[in-house]
Amino acid sequence: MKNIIILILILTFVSCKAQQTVNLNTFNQGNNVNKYFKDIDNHFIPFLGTWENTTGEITLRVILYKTERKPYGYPVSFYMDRIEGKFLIIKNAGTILEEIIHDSVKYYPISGQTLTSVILGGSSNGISLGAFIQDNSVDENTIGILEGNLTMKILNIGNIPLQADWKVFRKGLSIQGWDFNVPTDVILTKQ
Amino acid sequence: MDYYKSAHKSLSKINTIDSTFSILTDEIIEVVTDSTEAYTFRIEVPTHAISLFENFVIEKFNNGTYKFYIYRYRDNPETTRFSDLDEDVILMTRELINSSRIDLDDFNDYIAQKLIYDESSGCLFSLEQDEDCSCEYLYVLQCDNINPGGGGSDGDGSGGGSSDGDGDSSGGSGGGGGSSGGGSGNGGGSTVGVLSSDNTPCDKVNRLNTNIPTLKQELLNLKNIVDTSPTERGKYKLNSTSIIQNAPVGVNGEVVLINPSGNQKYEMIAHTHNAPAEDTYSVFSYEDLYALSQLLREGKIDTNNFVAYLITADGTNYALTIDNPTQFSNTFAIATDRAFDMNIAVNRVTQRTLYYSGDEDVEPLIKEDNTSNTDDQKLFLDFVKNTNMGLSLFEISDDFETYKKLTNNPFTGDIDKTNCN
Repeated sequence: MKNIIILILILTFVSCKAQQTVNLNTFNQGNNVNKYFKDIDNHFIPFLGTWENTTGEITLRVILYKTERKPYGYPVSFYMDRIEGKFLIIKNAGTILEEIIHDSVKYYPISGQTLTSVILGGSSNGISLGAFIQDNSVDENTIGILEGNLTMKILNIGNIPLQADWKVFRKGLSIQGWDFNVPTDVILTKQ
Repeated sequence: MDYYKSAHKSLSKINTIDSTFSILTDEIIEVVTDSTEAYTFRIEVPTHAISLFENFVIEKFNNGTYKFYIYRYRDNPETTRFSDLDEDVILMTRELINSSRIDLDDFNDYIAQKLIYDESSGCLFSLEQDEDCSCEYLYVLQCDNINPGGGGSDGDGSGGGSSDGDGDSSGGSGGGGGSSGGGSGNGGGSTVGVLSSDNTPCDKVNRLNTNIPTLKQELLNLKNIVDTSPTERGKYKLNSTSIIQNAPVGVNGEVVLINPSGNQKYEMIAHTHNAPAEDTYSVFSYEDLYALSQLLREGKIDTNNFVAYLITADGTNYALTIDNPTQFSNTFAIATDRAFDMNIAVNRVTQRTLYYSGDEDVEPLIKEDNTSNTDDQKLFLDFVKNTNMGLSLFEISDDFETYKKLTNNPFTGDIDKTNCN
């Protein structure tokens, strides 16, 4: 029994000591297990905050934030720093007629889930962000949620306000009529 | 040994309590020994990717207790020992299933009812007790097309399967042509019959080739344009028509799949990943699988027959079948779906990040500019396995004559290739 307790203590100690903090850009270079891939170079910073595009009376407002040490895998295999985000589609933003047409933070009774984050990605250079986006502003009854890729490329790094080229797209087969409702090609301005 | 086959064409099935697999009840083999009764059922879709087919077995002991098993049958990659014999060698393993996953009442109609097959007349009878008169009645159920399977034979403890460690034995594996077989043995432990699958992934690709005579030429035509066409190309066939049609192309040069109306379903979708080779995936992309899952979710894929084809500028030709529609659908379930499971979703996002990424800051394992098709092949199989999608992948020869089912061998780390033709 004493030996078993000692063994358990040793294994617990090894387990606690196993997680290793490494630079995000070393992901998939060797074994990822038990590593924490950290944004050591602070490449995420320029993207964090609120971005907007207004076309006509419709405003796309994107809010990006950093999630540190996000667990990946079930059970958890590794951790990463990530940029996560949500978006709103607003009519007549900033006026007394302002109306929020869509808020991506949404509760779905059928699954009992609240979708808080619909953007998940990162940046390795502080200029380009690549992410996975779930457009839940499409018709909920037919499509539900449409998944795709998102890129945001900052066009005027170092200037104020920052502007970025926002693109939403798919890299493969698509289904006729299943199109993104969120704008797919606009310039965002950081607020 | 008794063999029962339902007269009904449609598949009837029983789901486990935890809905992890479905048990088909149209064909059952009963094997009775001095100490046990064993009832063998087909499992609709194998629970393990490496399985050729699987059976669910209820074992009833003389003391009234029951045990439940999944019997898994798979190819033996080390067939050297039998290379001089013109026969298939398959391996069998079994897993004891916790009784909390099975509702025995669901099986009362099958294991309590006494059915008798009379080989001389070819008729199937049911034996039913009448408590009023304390007598038994013999009813003729059917006398036509009851085929106990050509592969079944009275075993001697080895049969067509292989023994496991506790003296268990399985009798001759499935009869030819996908019918059933059965056998018995005296290997020292329980003895069970074997029901082979009648719609394996290989069956699907072979059947589609037979049913669509122009398929091979259509695939060759796609291969001829992957290096020259500025846009990807697609072909499809619906179950409502006999012709193969061209798929539309989207504004970004991607293949757009129509959303068929009514009861129409896809039987075949083929598409290309075009040149330049260093800018295209040599395997199916994440979005390819996502689009197929969305069509499945809409009930637009005939999963019993469906085959997806991919031809790439990297020189690869693949076919893909959906072996477990529930698993495939659940993998991509979203918050608007009743089947949404957070653990499955977390795993999908993790595997996507690892294998396909899309994020600018991390290098995925599967990349458009990867130069080794073999590495991509292995990575794709890992991705499918890790996400538990329930898909099978096939490598097709350049003349589209030969199909080989691909499986990652967990013991050797190599890709096992099994000929379908």
